[in-house]
Amino acid sequence: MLKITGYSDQISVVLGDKISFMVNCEHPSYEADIVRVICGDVNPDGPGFNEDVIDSPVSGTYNGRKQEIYAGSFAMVESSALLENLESFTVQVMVWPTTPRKGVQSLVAKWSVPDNSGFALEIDESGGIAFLVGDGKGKVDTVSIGKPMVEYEWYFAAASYNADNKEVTVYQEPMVEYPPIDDASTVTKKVSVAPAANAVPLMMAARCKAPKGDVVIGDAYYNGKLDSPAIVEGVLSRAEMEMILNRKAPTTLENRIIGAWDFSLDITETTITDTSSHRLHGKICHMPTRGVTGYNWTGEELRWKHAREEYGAIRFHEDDVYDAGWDVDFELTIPDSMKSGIYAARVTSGEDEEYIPFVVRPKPGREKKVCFLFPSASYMAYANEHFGTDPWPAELMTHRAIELDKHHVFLNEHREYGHSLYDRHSDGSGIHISSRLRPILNMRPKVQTVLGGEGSQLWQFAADTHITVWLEAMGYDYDVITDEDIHYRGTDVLKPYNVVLTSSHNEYYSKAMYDAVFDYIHQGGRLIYMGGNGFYWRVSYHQTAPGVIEIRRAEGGSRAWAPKSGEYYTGFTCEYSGLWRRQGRTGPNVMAGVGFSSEGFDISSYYRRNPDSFNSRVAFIFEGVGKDELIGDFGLIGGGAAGLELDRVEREFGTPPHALCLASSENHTDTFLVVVEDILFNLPGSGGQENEWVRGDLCFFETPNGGAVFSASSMAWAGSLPHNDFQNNVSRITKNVLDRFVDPKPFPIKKAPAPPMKDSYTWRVKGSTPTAGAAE
Amino acid sequence: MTNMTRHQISKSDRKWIEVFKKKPIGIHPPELMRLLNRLRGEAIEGKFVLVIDRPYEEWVVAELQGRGKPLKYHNIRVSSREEGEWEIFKLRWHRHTGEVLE
Repeated sequence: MLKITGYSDQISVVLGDKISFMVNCEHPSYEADIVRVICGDVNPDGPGFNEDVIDSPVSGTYNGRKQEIYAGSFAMVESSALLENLESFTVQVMVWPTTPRKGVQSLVAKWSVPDNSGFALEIDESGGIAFLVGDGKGKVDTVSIGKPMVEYEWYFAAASYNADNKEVTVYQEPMVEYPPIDDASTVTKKVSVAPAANAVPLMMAARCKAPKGDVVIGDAYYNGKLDSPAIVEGVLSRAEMEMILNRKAPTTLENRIIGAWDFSLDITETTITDTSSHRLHGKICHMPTRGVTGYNWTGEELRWKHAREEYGAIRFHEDDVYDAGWDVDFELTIPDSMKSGIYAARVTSGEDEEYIPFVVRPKPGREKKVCFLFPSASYMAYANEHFGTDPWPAELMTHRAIELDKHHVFLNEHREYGHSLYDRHSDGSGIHISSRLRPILNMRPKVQTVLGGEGSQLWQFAADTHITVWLEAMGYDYDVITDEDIHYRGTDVLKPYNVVLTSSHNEYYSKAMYDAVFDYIHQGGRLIYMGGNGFYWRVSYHQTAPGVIEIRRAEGGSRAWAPKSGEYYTGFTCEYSGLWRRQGRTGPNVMAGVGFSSEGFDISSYYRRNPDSFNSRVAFIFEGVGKDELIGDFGLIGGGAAGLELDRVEREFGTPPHALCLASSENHTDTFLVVVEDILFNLPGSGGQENEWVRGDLCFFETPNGGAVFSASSMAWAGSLPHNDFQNNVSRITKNVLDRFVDPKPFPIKKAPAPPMKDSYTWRVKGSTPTAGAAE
Repeated sequence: MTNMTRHQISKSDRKWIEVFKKKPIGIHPPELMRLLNRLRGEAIEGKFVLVIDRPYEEWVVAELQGRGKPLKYHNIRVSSREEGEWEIFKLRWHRHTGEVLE
């Protein structure tokens, strides 16, 4: 089991920036260094693990200490005199529980766990609503409905406390009645104690166990939605409660409201707003999901901005994690001697080690001509994935035994480290939000993954170092920038470069990122798309909280889960999430000429040249490659250059009409299947041995102002680069492209009539219309 | 849970045992894939996996016990993925048919 884990506060830094590292180490001490990561593949058949230790003040011995993650989202309002001096009062909230039978789950509580003081409206062991009062001296009394609620149904929940006679009334009312189901009741009972005042926050979806600096540690975390919580002075009638819920209280009643929180008012923020005159505003912790349908959603509007009042719910999960909140162990101020590249804090103790990667981007004005795009958004999407331990069909996808590395075993038992956007919460719902402010144990060199293909079995970070080790071996001087740099700084960070190379799997793009790369290649920039299934999902970055993205896998695509109806727009920005190809003139085919076509995770295959590869426009690409030579029938990822996730040309989805389909892969196993977004009816014969669409296409096309795009269209392409000491035809083709793309000389363009529309089969077999494109 | 419960393994599947043993990873005939889908489409609880002990050198056969639960390790160590595939195949064949394969 892992005994060292860590993370940094930033993913991209520049000369003079200070980066902080947080470390959990169960050993008494550890050694730390800064290293530049060149190759993260330890497969003995590969080029060999390669790192450079950097001379930095970080190098040294540190005391180890255990740091823990307290997962679980909630909302909280700081304590105040108003909340501490309640006499008679009513607390109410709309509840949509997803795991009512999992045990005690706090809904709205000013409850201090250490001394059992205060009050709590909660779900108790029965699965129904209960109200808890504690005097802080050891006496606790509960009034319980005692009838379990139905999962995924809305309920009105409330409790009133009469300070004069210590009488409590608890309400549990379903919005939908199922005649034989006994889940509605009102219970009135006298309690023996009064709720004692305490100084802990008022919390929703959890109760306060202990404050820890700015981080409150909770207890009794709730799974489900809450909508319209309110606390009102006095014992309200049911009719008065309804007025509060509907925000139609007469002035006399309104004046008695102590707090009424409208979650729909600041969906994109980390705050919650109290609409009462007391303005007891609060905040959310560990990033629960906002912009979700409320109890009153009619279904008439799908975009929350258009019917904000119907999106007054927040969805909480006991395993949400945003910021681990660990104390800093060491820091580094980036010195002038650290050139742009991929780095990591290397932390070791005995045989245990941990790498905490980060990128040093170039100082503006010092950029080189070549840049590698570090896909931090996609790394976050896959952060701490549980493919090997959670979904039962994983082995059907891999068509080989599931292999678990150390981090998989650790993450299975340490759910507090959070999940990826492919996983599900403990209540079965899909993970919408992923943060990098926690240890991301698969964004590491050396680690193997379930999906990585036979051979080195790498995915993303470690696999992408096949590109950086190749760049180094070929003698290229290159910079590295991250998705966050592109997102926040736009095209300007790309413009200095003659050519940029993607990673093997740049799947997740925000709109700002998509626009920046698109504008770059249409303003003369050159793009080498080194991977497969890139530019696929649209994600949102939070607008105020750093290092966190959100996705709604809306209405199509190869997806691990589907969002609920009415929840296709992100809470972070109200963007329609999902596939880029569903969003106007966007998508991978528009950007790279190719788009996701099929996937399989057992063995990879090779490419065979198509007629288009003999077009004089691309003679430079195939210099030194034979006419009948198979391309990439070797490699570290599945044994071939075409594997894992593959893309094809398709005019219908936006491939430029003058693009050339240079070579296509073939002979894939039947576990490679056509992607679901290309299937309208299920049909037999969707596998690699039969279906034309199961292939990757090498693709080239020119863009305006002297730009160009070359696409490898396979996640396994990079894994073939190191073969035979980098002397092979995948390496040669990539080098041919890169050398030409670095050369600022424009690609000659000759205007020609538009070619007729063609399908991808015709494109592959017959080639592009010869007259379309460049001068001969 | 699992959806892969329809195909019932029978004597007619025995002919694929040696075929699989010779090539556990790669292009397989449809009938062998159907058999493998049945064996590999197990529910998470009790699913056999390989745990990497020494990267690219040694693996241990284990069983998943469910979300968040510790793995159950078997006293079976293998020195190649192909060997691991065969060990898991034997365990699953026994689980489904009661027959012990050598």
